[in-house]
Amino acid sequence: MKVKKRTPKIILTIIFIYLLLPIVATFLYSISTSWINTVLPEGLTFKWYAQLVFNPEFLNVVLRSLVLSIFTTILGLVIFVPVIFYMNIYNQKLKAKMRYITMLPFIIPGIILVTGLIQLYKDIPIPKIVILVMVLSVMSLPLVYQTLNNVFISKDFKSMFEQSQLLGYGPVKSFMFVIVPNIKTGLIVSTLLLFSAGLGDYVITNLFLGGNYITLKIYMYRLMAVNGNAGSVLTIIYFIMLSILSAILIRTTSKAKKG
Amino acid sequence: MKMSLKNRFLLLFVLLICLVLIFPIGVMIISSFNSQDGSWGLMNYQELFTNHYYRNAIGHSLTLSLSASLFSEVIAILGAWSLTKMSSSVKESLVTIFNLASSFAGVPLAFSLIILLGNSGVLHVISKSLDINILGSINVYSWLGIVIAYSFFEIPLGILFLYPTFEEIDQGWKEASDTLGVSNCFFLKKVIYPVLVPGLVETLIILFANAMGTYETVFALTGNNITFISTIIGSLIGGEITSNIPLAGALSVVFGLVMIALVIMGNLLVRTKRITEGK
Amino acid sequence: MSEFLKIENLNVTFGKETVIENLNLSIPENAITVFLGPSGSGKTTVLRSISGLNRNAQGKILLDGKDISELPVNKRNIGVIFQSYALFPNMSVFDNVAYGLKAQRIGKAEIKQSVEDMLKLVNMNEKANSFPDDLSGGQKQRVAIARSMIMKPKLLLLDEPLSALDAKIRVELREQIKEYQQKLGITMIFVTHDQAEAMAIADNVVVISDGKIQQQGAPWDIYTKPSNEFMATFIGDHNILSGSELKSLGINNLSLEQKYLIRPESITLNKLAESIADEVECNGQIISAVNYGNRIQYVIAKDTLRLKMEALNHTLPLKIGSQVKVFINKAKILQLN
Repeated sequence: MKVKKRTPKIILTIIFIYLLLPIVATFLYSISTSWINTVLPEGLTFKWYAQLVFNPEFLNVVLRSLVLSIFTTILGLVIFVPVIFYMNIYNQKLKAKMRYITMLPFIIPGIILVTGLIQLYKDIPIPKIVILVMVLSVMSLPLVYQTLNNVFISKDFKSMFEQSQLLGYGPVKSFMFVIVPNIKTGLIVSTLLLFSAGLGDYVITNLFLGGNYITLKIYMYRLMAVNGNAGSVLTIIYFIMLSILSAILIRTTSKAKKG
Repeated sequence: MKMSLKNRFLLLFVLLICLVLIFPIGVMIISSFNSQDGSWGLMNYQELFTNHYYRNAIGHSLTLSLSASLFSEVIAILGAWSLTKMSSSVKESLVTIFNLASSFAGVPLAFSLIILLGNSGVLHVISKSLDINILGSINVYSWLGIVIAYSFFEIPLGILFLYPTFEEIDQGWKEASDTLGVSNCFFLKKVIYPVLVPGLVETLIILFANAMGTYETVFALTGNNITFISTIIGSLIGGEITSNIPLAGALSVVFGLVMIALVIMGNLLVRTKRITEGK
Repeated sequence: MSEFLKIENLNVTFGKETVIENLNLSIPENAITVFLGPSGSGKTTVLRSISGLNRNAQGKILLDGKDISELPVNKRNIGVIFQSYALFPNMSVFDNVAYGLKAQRIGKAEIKQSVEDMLKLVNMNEKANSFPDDLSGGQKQRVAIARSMIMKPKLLLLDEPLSALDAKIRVELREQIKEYQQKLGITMIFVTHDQAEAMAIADNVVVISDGKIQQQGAPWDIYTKPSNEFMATFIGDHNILSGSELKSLGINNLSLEQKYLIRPESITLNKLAESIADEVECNGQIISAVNYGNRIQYVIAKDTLRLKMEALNHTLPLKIGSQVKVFINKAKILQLN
């Protein structure tokens, strides 16, 4: 049975166009002067971009999102990498049990988790933003765990780690000199996953902090109602950020597969 | 006693998991048996299953998630199959694009859809100026609109999950056709059924669970106006007047149980298929 | 000094399982001691306890008269060679070997000189700039050995270092390890499950099974004077017969209840020369013959008894089924406890 090469191409093209349609429309909208009664926009302009980018509020929003993403990434890496390393190298029993816990954030949607978080922390005087950073890093645990786990079973890291200590280095230095340089791919992927978790969350950030900490997505939601042009610009900027993140992600993993 | 370095990290990890996962869920479960005036009992659950408003919401969520995931799965099957026929460089860039599309959900997606399909959206403007109806009866804020909205992240997600399965089948097809005298029936029994069916079921469950858990996209599209489990929870914990956190907790517990049941069911289904066909 | 390393009352438990119980052991300086035992016998556990990698170990470990039991791994000055080489893939061969020296305060020029000397010794100087992934298994292990030896460890532990290699490379590297040991005067403990390897490399053999030391001694003694039935069967080929069975072969004045060991080489067939006084003669039939190239192993049946023996392959092979005369050297019959 021979499949004509054209059919799959047509199918993929249709799906591709379908998926791209909203973003193309948004992009056109974001660069049009006005688009009310015509087939095509009346004129093209970048003034909406300039307007948004030079708005100090926008810069604050970007800063807030970056702060959230960066802290989420740091916390996630600092805790998950050593723990997943330890479980793989020294405690397989613990690893088997942990598997279920690492899957939990996958099963429990953010909207459920935030209900519990609000109840638990409503009277506890810990800054909610600290809890939020913790929540966001744990939400990306399933993917980070899977990524690092695959890396740690790919080589005999246990012997390498032990050998470094036999050669006179303490455990921390051994980890930094011998383990970290050999799990670069896993670390890059984990960083991107954690960073995207910080950047992409809306539900928990909005409901748990009661809209007091305005990140990119919350700002986007507010702009939707007031200023369509600015909102479309922000959507495109967000899309570009996501594209860069996922391009790096795929590049890193496919390079690792080939190498 | 001095604690070793690894134990300190382990303790931090356990603490983190407890603080943001175990404790909140525990508190939520406990307080779901608590009413707003402080008495204990099953009244929240009673309310959920007797009040039409909530029963309808549960029904809505189930049917909408089922339609969205089924629709997306059908398209994803075509997409995943087509993807296996492409050259490896095309495959790689398409996987990147699908990966990107699957994460482009929530507020930005809702906004893009409103720009595309909304009342003063691009397609409306075009059809008005051309004086023909391109959109038909599609309304982005309606049931059909939400199914379409979900399909924008569920189709790429489905393709990403199904694609490895179809690659496997492609291999099997080649091997089978290399062996002379292989009947279609044999191929169906040895390749399609054991490999494809578990993959399809698994993906459908993932898509269904994903649709059930979606809050951001619906909320951004319709506010809390359409009653789904997720949006009702949102309005119960976020709305000022309607706020009733214990009730939200009860709804979350029911929701969580459905999700867990789904995952377990999926695992069992896939496993039994693999065991019976694995011989 | 025959007590260079001294282990007193070593106990190791994993969870509820006791792996090593009250083990006592001394090993001599400047020699290769082999820990020989079946897999799962606990020999690697003892090794890891000596190096400090195993933290469940309880007991006293004295190295060169100093108690090292409480010292962390990186302070014991003990080297370990792993079966999986454990080279650092992110570093060149040179950097791998230099790694340990860099932790100490040593000048760059000095490090360079020592690494070059060490690489020359293990014949890897031409590969100094290669990376581990580009090396063969034998080369990797030589780099790993160089990396440990450059630290001038008081004790070098080798944990099945040759098991992942091809048979030919295995023999070559075995000889080289022996050569390095003699050149540098390092005290080594070599763990293996392969008795031929153990016999070839060891100055001193410690046989471990079920977490216990079965016997310790020179390879010659381990083979000729096994301390018990386990030792007799674990090392070398063997015939184990009871006193009453030996009586049926014409060997009297042995205790009928006891078991006895006869090595295959203590049995000969169809001798032309006069039999010496110590030999007993009986008849049997060949029921199996396996050709190992330079020697042939026969199994001979006498009534219900089976005797294994070996002959050098310089005569015409005997056919299965042929009747033979069997001579057993009485002086070589060993009573087992």
